[in-house]
Amino acid sequence: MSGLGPAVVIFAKDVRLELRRVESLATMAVFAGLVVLIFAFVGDPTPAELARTGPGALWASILFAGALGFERWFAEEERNAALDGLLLAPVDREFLFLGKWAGATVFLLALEALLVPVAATLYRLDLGGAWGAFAVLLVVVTIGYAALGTFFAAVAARTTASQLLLPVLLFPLSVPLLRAGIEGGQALAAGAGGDYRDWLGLALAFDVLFGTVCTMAFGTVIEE
Amino acid sequence: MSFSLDQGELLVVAGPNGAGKTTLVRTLARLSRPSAGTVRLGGAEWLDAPATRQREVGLLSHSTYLYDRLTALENLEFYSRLYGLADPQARIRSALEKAGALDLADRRAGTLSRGQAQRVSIARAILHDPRLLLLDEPHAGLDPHSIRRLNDALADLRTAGRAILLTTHDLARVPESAARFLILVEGRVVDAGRRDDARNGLERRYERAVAGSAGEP
Repeated sequence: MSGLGPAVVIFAKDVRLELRRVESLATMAVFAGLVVLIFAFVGDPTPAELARTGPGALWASILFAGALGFERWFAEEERNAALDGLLLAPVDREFLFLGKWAGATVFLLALEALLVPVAATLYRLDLGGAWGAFAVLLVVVTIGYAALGTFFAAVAARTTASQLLLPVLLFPLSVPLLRAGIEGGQALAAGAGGDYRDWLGLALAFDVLFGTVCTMAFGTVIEE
Repeated sequence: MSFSLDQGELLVVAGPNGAGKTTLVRTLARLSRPSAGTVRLGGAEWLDAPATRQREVGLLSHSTYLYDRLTALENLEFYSRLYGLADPQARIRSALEKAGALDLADRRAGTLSRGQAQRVSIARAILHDPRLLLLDEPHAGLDPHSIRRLNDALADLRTAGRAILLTTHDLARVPESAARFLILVEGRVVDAGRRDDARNGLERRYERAVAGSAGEP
């Protein structure tokens, strides 16, 4: 099988598996919602402070819930050594990564679709007519975060301490993306379109750089 | 170690636990990279060959490579798409029949017993009709009826020209169609023989080799 076909096959399989355990996404959504809720109570904030800290709380919750998700999504490949089954296939390993990456991106976006309305209500986020721009930022940051998460979940899965190792590897490298998500969101709330474009550009550059590096390096990190 | 395996030949690699049988099989399947040495498949260098050539190899391992939340049929459909197989439904049915797992098609893999999962896994390994079939302790978890069925299927595959390498620690379960034996101890081939002399001492030689590796007199 050539081209993107194998990636599509793996993506479709991951979606099917996820639909058979919706409790996983529901658990992540509840966890992320609790993180958002807890941040809203810190320091008894005024409405203005809430609106300012809202994007930060939203991205922090996505960061934490995403780390949980990556570990679980990759655990599915570790059970019965299914990952070896993928590696046995006549498919370049880059396409295996692309399939897993696409699945993780879609799952994170589904989580965010549940989470954003909660965060917007709790933090009284008022982006006026900029919700479309916010959605673009959300997608771009999520793509980059899913690339890193998928890659490091594969790295961690080859170790005996995967649950501990994943956040240690993932969080530091996610800082530029987190920053772009928070600052870009705050710029939209403040009506600063120029700043928003700068942060969006940073997130896009991150996606291209780390998406390429993770795709190319995937085959090496999963090899014994 | 150095050995060759011809088309239509079933080679048995016997050895005790820790002898290196699984490492050998994983290396031949390109799941593990050797620190030294070469492997040739069909006369061409194998270890650095393009991924597309991976379809020439099928592997049955200790792990089933099945997704617990998918049915046996869905698992095989997934692998047939990944391998880009033409006429996948016919191939899946044929593989399930050969493995004696047709009745398990609609069962989720996570609900199967060890022996049932092994039968589905056999179907997965032969689904794409590989020219080299690697079987790592394939009889593990199978009942006597399933062992006979597997051995019959292996004889058919051998007759059809497939090369088969089978590892075991139990020579009593080796299929009648096996022509050659290697005895592996601590990563080295310590003895070799043919089916002709299997009954004339190979089992005793195997037992001596295993006992020797365990430090017994």
